[in-house]
Order: sequence, then C-alpha cells, then structure tokens
Amino acid sequence: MLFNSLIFLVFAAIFFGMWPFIKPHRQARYLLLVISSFIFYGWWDWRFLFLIIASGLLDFFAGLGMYRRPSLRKFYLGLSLLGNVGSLMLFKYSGFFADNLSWLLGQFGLDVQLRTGLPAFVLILPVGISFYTFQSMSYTIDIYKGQLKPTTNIFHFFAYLSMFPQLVAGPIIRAADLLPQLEKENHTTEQQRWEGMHLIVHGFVKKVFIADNLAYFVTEAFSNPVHSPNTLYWWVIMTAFAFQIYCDFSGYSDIARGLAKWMGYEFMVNFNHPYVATSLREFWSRWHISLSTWFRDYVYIPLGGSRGGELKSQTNMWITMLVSGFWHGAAWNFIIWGGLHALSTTVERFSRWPQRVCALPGGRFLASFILLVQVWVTWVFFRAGTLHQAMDILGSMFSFHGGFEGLMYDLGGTKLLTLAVIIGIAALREFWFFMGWHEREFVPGRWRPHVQVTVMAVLIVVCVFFRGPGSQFIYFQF
Amino acid sequence: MGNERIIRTFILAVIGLAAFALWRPNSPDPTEDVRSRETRFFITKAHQDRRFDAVIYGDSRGLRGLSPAVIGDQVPGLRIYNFSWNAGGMNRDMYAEAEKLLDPASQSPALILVPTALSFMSFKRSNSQFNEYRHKPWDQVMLYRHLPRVADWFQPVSPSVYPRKVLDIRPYRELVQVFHPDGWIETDQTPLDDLAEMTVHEERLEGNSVDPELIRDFMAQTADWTARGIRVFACFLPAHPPRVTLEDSILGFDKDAFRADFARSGGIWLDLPQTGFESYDGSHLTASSARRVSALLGEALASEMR
Repeated sequence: MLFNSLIFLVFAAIFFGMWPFIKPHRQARYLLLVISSFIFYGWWDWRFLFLIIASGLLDFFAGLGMYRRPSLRKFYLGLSLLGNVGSLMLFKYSGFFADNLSWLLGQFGLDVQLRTGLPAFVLILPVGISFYTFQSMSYTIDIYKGQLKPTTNIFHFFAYLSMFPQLVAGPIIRAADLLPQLEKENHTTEQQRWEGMHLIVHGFVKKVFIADNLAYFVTEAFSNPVHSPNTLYWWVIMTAFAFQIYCDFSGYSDIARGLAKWMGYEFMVNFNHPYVATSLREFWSRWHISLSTWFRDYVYIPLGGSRGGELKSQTNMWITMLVSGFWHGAAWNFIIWGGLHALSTTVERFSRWPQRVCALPGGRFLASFILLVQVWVTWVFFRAGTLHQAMDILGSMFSFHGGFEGLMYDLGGTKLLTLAVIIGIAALREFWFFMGWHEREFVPGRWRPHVQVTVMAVLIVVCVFFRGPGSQFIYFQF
Repeated sequence: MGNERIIRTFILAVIGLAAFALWRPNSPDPTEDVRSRETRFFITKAHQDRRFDAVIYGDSRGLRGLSPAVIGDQVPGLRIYNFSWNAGGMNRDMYAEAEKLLDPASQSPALILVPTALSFMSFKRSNSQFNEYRHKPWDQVMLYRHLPRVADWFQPVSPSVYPRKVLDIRPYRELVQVFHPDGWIETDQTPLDDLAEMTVHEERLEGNSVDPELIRDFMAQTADWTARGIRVFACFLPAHPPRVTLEDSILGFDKDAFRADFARSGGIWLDLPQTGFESYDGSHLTASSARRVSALLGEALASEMR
C-alpha cells in the first residue's frame, strides 16, 4: 500500500478511527498495530508476509534464547544473523551472484546460466526487505551486546518490527527506542498532532509535488534508448534526480514520522537537509541518518572504527561504504556508488579541502557547490540501469557538447520551465535552511497561527492539484 | 489550539480544493488540459474488456492515423478497435494482447497490423506505454474507469502553468487531441511541421537497426494466426515521405522484401497510397488525412472481406 494512494486514505481513516479506543489496552494496541501493519504490507503481496513473520519469529526466539541462556549467546546470534542475512542473500542478491558466477565461469569456457536455475520466487524482491531485516537484526545484536532486554510478548515484538508507517522504507528504528514507547499508552498533545500534520503535509509536498513531477523528466531521460549527448541536459537531469530521490525518500520518512506522532510515538529524524552540507562527512550525517548510524554501530565500529590508526580507520570506512552501496542494490552500479563516496571521503580526509575552502570568503557556498558536484556525479551510478549507461551519461556530462539550443531540443521551453519551477522550489527549501531563516523573522507573532493554517491548507491543495505522475517510492526497491 | 488549527486547516483546504476545481486555470498547452481524458483513454485500452471482430495494432502512426469508426463505415457490421500504442513495438507480447481482444464467437476475426521500421527496433520489446497503463494501481484504474467525473475534477495541473501564463509562454506547436472510445486519437497541430526534428531524428537513429528476430516473429505470428482461421491484414501508413525514407534507410528496413515475406506467411497486404496526405509533424497524420486514409483502408478491407 502506498501512502499516496486512495486506498491508504481509507486505511488511515479506519486505523485512526479505531486507535483512540484501542490504545488504552496494551494487548489490543499491539494486536491492532500488528494486524494493520500486516494488511498494509500484504496489500502489496500477502505471500511475502511469511518472510516478515519467519524473520521476526527467528529474532524473537533468538533474543529470548540469548537472555535466558547466556552461554549460548553466540549460537543464537549466529542463528539470527544467518536467518536475516540468508534471506537477504536469497531474495535480494541471488540473481546478482548467479549472474556474476556465470560470467566468471564463462571466462573459463564454461557456458552456464545459473540465473535460469533459480526458482522464480527468489527473483521477486520483497518490498522493504532491507529495512525490516536490518531492524530485526539490530534487535538481536543489541540483546547480544547487553544493551537491550528482550520483550517476552510476541505481539509487542511484532508491533515494533512491522509498524506500518516505517515498515517498507524506514526510518530504521532501533528496538531500544521503540519497544519502550510501545509499552506505554502515549497521550498526544495538541501541539504533537499539529506537528504530525505538518510532517505529513510537508512529506506529501516533497513526494507528490516535487519528486513525482521530477520523476517524469528523469524517467524519460534514463529510459530513452536514444542517448542525448548534450552536456547541459544531463546536468539538468542529474539535478532533477538529486532532488527527486531526496524528496521522494525524505518525504516518505516525514510522512512516517508524522503518522507515528499521531499515534503518540517518536521516530528519529532521517534526513536533515543533506544538500546544505559542505563536506561529504557532513553529508552522511544528514542523509538517511537511520541507515548511516546503523552501519556505523553495526559494521564500522565492530570492525574497529577509527581505533588502530589511519590505515585501519580508512579500511573500515571503505568496507562500510561498499557494503552500504551493496545494501542499496544488487548491482555493480551501487557498489561503485559506495566506492566513489569512500574515495571522496578519503580525499576529503587527507586534503582537508572543506576546511580550507570554507575559510575563504564565501567559502561555505563554494564548498557546498563542490560537494554537490561530487554527489551529482555519484548519483549517475545510482540511477543508471547499467554501467554502460552510467559511463555514457558521465561522458556527456563532461564532454561539454551542445549548448542551450540542444537543451531546448531535448526538453523544450515548457518542460524546461516546469523543471525550473520545481527544482527552484526544492532548492529554495534547502537555501532557506542553509541561510538559517525562520518564519518568525518574516511573520509577526499574532499572525503566525493564521499564516500556518493558511500555508498548510494551500499545501494540501498543491498536493492534490499539482501532483506529478510518479507513484512508487524509490526506496521501496531496496 | 492544535486541534483547532487542524480543523481550520481541513476546512480551508476543502474550500481551496473546491475553489481550485471550479476555477482551475486553463493551460497554455492544450495537451495538458486533456490529461485526465488521456489517462482514462489509455487505462481503458490497457484493461479493455470488450471483444471485437477486428483489431488494429501498431505504433503511434496507427494510433493517430486510423479511425475504426471511419473504417467501419466501409465494412458495416464489423466491430473494430484500434489497439495501437505510442512507441508500440511489434513483438509477441503485444500480438497476444491484441489477439485477446478478438471475439472468439466472431464470424470473421481479423487483425490489422500497421508496421513501421521503428516498431521493429529491439528496445520496443519493453512495450513501455502499454505496460505503464496495464500496471497502474487498481484504485487508479477504478477511478478512471468508473468515476471519470471525479478523475476530471481532480485532474492535475502543471506546476509551471502560472509562470507560463504570466510570461505568455505558449508551446511552439499546439497539439489538439480528441480521444475516441474506439481507440483512435484524432490529432491536429498548429502549425503543421513536416520537417520537425528531422536532423535530430537522423542523429538519434544513427547506429540503430531493425531487429531481424522481431521481423521473423512477425511472419511466424502471421502464419500462426492464419492457420488458426484469423485473417491477418497489414499496411504501411503514409507519413512525410522523406522522414519514412530516412527511417527505412538508417534502420535497414526493406519494405519490398517485408511485403513479400508477409504474403508468403499467409497475410493479406493492403496497399495504401503513400503520398497526398498531410502530416502534422512528419510522422503522424492530421485528423482529416487520418479519416481519408481510414476510408481507403476500409474500402480495401471490404473488398478483401467480400
């Protein structure tokens, strides 16, 4: 079920209609959350509910086993990791490994097509599998490390694991944050409900107004089999994609956080204006924070983190970045995307260019610009269907071929203006934040509630009438 | 305070939605004002549940160039549907979809194929437009098929509509489309531009070719349908001759050999004049030319079906 679908409106109306009556009763609360979440997920494909249930059952009992029989902690942890990583390998990566192994065997003259031998069901990527398996794994790892006491109530556990607002595209919530919240009947204040609505409406603006309108141009550019060689065109398209993916994903996170607020729960901030960063290190502290911190806590630090000298620290960072790239998709494009981020981070670390540039007059703007160029270039690998296409696009971006006339041919005046309007609005949001502006500087106190209400109503109208043609959230496929 | 703000927001939003729906701005580009009708047209086509005696299948030239109603005037009683798509490809998946639209009880089931060199390019196997509409979420399908007034009411508006109005930016070419329930899009453009994008079209086609496997499939499918009692007709639709020559020569499409192979496979070739028609962009026929060519096709069909 998509947040931006009619059926979700019906679903949400029923859920929030029942919620105030159910939430005082703990067991009923868990049950409502679990059943609603299963309906929400099963709407896409009910058969894959078994995967969540199996993954959840394994981690629930592994958690209990670790707590009750500490001598077998390692065994239970191994079982949990094997189950979770195994299901990821099977459903997300088996096609990738089959293709690469086939290619490798082909180099030795063996013509074997391993993909054709795979059962059809493993070639369907279950929506959100990377999110819920990571969430489930963090539960058992935290119990293993003694940082979390397992819950003994299976519905409590599944309410945490499958909670519908964040089930398929995050934020990846830690059990230590959510399990205690779920135990209590959280009364929402009027201010919380207003903030929840603010997040939901702004999330929809990001998704249906900005991302979906940009999606049209990006999809057209990347799916056009006849490649445009125009340099300007590809920089415009990559700018569109950069804002599309940001608004698509952060829009989802905002809606998820807003829905949680209406239930009385708090989810972590997942995006904090990443494009205002002035260094890659800062970018990663602002982009998909729940995943970055997950990799930091469960991959980078266990590998040794920054302990053990510069070489060890860099090696650990590279491993983490490459694994993070692979998490995003089972293709070399994503691994290269992770590798390029690692390379840029290494260069940044040794050259200290952000600090040097920021020290110049107007340096913050320049540093931000340099960073955006790097990020735009890496997005090419993230979005391209094949490595070949990525190289073609990069070739066009740096060939300095064609000018404004070519851009007009590829897009036309109307499309170009539409792009300018949407990218302009998206960029203005970031610029507003970059400059540290706040509405109180522009609106007198007594007018503020009226302005807030009017702005929110206008944004709802914008979402309905200026929505774009895209529908699916990009991160569902990860 | 918070609930009051939420309630006030909803009331204001409902008023805003109603006001916007009533006084929505017309777009300077007429194609944008028919988006809802266009979506409904293609959703209906992708989920068509009616059955016919004859189904036309081709790419955008067929989609905009053949009116089943006009053809039907020449062959009374024949239920015809135009199942052509923009960027439609000649491939087995689409042949199967077209065949599904034939009424099994029909006395004279027929397929009318409208191939072009472009429709035999490999990438057309993706059947992008058909798949886009076939796989629309079911709530959208329901909305557009069964609540068309509501869909019209909430038809989206381009985000650049106001700046374009203020700056008086109009499209260089104004495309007017009428979506017919029989699958035809009646299209006209002001001004007509036969040479539109010829140079770039040439540049972009360079290095590509027709896929011989797709042509073999076309012939095999024709033979298969013929063997099963389905009559298969085919024709080349006229367009701006230099454009067609350009496409055929770059893509290596040998029309004479193609016609001969088609006849050998059991198909019936319908010869249509290739000149004397008006195209609005070099590729697609204007509404009046589409009517004329449809009438000619109808005559040829009637004579073959006698």
